[in-house]
Amino acid sequence: MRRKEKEWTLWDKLRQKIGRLWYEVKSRVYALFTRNRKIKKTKPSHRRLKDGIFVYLVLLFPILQFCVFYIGVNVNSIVMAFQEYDVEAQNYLFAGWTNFKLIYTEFLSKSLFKICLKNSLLSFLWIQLLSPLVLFFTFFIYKKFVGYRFFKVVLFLPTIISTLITVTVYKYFCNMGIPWVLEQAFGVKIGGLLSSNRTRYGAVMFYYMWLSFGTLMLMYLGCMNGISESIVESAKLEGATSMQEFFHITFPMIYPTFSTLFYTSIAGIFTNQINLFSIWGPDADSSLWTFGYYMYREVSLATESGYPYLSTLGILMTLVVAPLTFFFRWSLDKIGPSVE
Amino acid sequence: MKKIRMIFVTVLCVLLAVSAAGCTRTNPNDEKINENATQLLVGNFDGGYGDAWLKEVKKRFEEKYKDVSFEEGKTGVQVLIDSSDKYSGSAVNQQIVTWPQHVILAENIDYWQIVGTNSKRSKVTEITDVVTTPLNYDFITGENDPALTDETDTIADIMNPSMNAYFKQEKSDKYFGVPFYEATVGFVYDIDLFEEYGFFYCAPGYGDAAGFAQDMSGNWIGQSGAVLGNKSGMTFAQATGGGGLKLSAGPDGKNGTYDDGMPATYDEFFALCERIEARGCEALTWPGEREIQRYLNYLAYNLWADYEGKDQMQLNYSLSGTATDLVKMDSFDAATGTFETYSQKIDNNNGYLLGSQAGKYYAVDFISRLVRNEKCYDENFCFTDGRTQYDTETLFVNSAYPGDNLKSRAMLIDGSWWQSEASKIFDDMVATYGDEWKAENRRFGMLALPKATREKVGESTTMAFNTATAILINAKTTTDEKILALAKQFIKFMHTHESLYQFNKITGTAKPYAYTLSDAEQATLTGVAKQNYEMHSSVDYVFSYSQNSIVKSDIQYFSMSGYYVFQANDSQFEILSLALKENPSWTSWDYFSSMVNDRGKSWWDTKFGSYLG
Repeated sequence: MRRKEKEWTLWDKLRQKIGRLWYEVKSRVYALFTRNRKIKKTKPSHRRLKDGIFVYLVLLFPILQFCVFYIGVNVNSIVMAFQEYDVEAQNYLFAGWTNFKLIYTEFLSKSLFKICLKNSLLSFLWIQLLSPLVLFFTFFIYKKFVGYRFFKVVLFLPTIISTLITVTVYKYFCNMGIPWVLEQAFGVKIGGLLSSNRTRYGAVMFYYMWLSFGTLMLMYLGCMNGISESIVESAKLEGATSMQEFFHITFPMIYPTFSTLFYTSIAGIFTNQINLFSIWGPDADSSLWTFGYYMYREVSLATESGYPYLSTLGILMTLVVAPLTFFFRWSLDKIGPSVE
Repeated sequence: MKKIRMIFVTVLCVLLAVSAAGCTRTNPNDEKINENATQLLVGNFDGGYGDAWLKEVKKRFEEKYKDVSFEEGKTGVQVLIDSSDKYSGSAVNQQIVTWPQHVILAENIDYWQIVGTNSKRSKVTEITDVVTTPLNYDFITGENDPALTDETDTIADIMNPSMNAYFKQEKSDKYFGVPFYEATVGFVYDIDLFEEYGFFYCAPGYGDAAGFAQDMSGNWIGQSGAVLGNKSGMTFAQATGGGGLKLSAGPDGKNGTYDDGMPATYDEFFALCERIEARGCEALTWPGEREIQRYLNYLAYNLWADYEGKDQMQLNYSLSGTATDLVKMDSFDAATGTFETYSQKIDNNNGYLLGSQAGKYYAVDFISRLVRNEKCYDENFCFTDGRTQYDTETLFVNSAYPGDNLKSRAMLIDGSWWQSEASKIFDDMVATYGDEWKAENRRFGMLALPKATREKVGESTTMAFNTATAILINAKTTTDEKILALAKQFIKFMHTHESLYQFNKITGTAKPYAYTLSDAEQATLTGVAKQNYEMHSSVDYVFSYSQNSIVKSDIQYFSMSGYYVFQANDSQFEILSLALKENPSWTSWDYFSSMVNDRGKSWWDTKFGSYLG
């Protein structure tokens, strides 16, 4: 029995899950209609049928939306990767592997690709390095240590306020505020932090991490607040310190969230634009570009003839990132701590 | 604690309200609807030109047709203007069908994409009759307008030829739109300051040792170094009007034209900047904001166009003809900065060769020399991201006031629309300092572009239109015949002589049509408007768009406002000023050869393969 379990692949598990889900849906629909048929004439059942119809109608819209804006868009992207736009006829024609060749000449063979790769991986890395600090601060807030309200506000603030406002304030702070303060206080003249190529990367990463801090903290805090009080109480009664509580209760309990955030950030390596578009629109310095920014920018500048190229790029990125995400999900499920 | 909490909550509420304010739509153009008149809805791109000029047109149009009935039970027309920046960019193509407006004045659009190939399904209405019937023909009455007897030309007759070639569909000779405005980027200069300090070049044999009208002490210098007087006792008008000072002929090489005394070559231009700096003024100012640094790309594009001349520059859009000054890339002599050129017949298959036009090299070289000479500009301002266009225009306009210790600023790199855009700045200055600082009392002009080499002096000036603009009729909403006639007549009305003159007068710039203003009309123009009109009449403009399939397929590589025109270093460099400033080891030749290599044959064949023969 044990041996058999070990042989199960991820695909088997997935099939099992789909099977269960399908069975669940089928039985619910069947139950809904058979019950309605049986007690058709009674008032409550009629209401139940109406409720059922209402629920399914309500669900219809998001399902349609999913079909159009996810399935439709992705299928269209795959088709478009093998098409090119004819400006005269104003329609898309089959183009074979032309877009893949163009991706090579326009992007993959260029140093810009290396820059995007470096910055995308670095931004992923920075966030992972930030994670322990976020966990620590979240635990600090969760345990309501002295000053937790202050940190809560400071770290959540950029998440609440519109990006347009925070970006504007941050830009002025970096480009005008800090140089002015330094000049007034020490007589030192420096350029704007976002203007100078020596400080630009640091200033962008600080803003990115500051924004990410609040978002991550919000997720972890929600999860920590869901931990049963009785477990924490019993640990305390057994004399557990705060550190022990964190490592033996809190972290294992929030591990599913932690691992989910980890592998979703892997999926985000190719889409994360580290707020460059919010700060500079399509004019960010190329030494800061990530794959996400490159894609976002090119889409914003493209016309119909540019979309096949971008669709191809998107598909290539998915081909790289999808297996990676599944691999890390599988690995994290394996190595995660146990609550027991 | 409770108080602090309250304060905090209040601050948060205010911040959220501010955020939410961005989502609300306020319409400053709200106008009460006149139920007794027919409404014509006009969407106007709310950019540098604003809508004051359009309101003036509206007023005259409503007055003219106040007694005509377009709908049963209604008399007259009410033009409702919606000024918004939504009438710009690719959004126009995607959203035009959702807008109620009948007439749309749009900017930065892909005209042929909006028009489409199937005229029955086009998003805009065909307006060939508007463009090809005389301006005095009235669509409302179906007769010639007796008030416009002299206006027998059609819009097509007076339209800029390269724009006409773009707007008229090649296969069918049909028009679906007409150009909205003309705009370009260059050096705006403060004429008062230039005259005060004599920042003009003199004719050979006149001026100080460096050829300037004034020496460093402020003395006007005439023939053979003779001192004519000092600036404290003699004005520029006195010095030139019989005082013995003679100005140089300027870049066009002709005396008595608007560019007299202006630097004729790049060398003279940089020497002028250094002279301005030496006299205690700031030579050049431009916004440090990254986005607006692109204005220096536009400037470079104009310098490129000016070097090449109209016919050679037009090859970049027609991809058909013979290029006469392509650089032999292996002939560059770094010691002398010279190279050899060759001629080549150009077609769709080798259009990439135009990237090596000599003018493009000289344009890059000009920007390189500019940003690397800190005497030419205010480094702290021009390279601080966050210094906006508004900040820059404010600084430039206000710097003339003597009482506030601001360093006087001689030149601004900006678009020809700048004064219209800066109208509030002038108003504020009037409120603070008095009426003498009104826009109409100030004198600014556009400096004629200097020539790259002495050999080029005397050739006419060529510049490029900054962006594609169009006036269109929305096919979805303009289905009623009477409304359609009204919309067509409104477009025609915007192109009568009076309307073109009013546009010139109010916005300070010209429209891309051939028209002659009388002396009386010219007398009513501001200094900027007058000079823009003179430039409009004397400069050869090229329109950086065409109906060539390759050019149409991705305009970002070809047009003046295209993002990829100056890409280099594996597409890492795009904004000339920033790339050259931040990478001092890159010479202008390095930059140029990188551009040529990046956009070579293999790239061209892959990118535009389906259009090649």
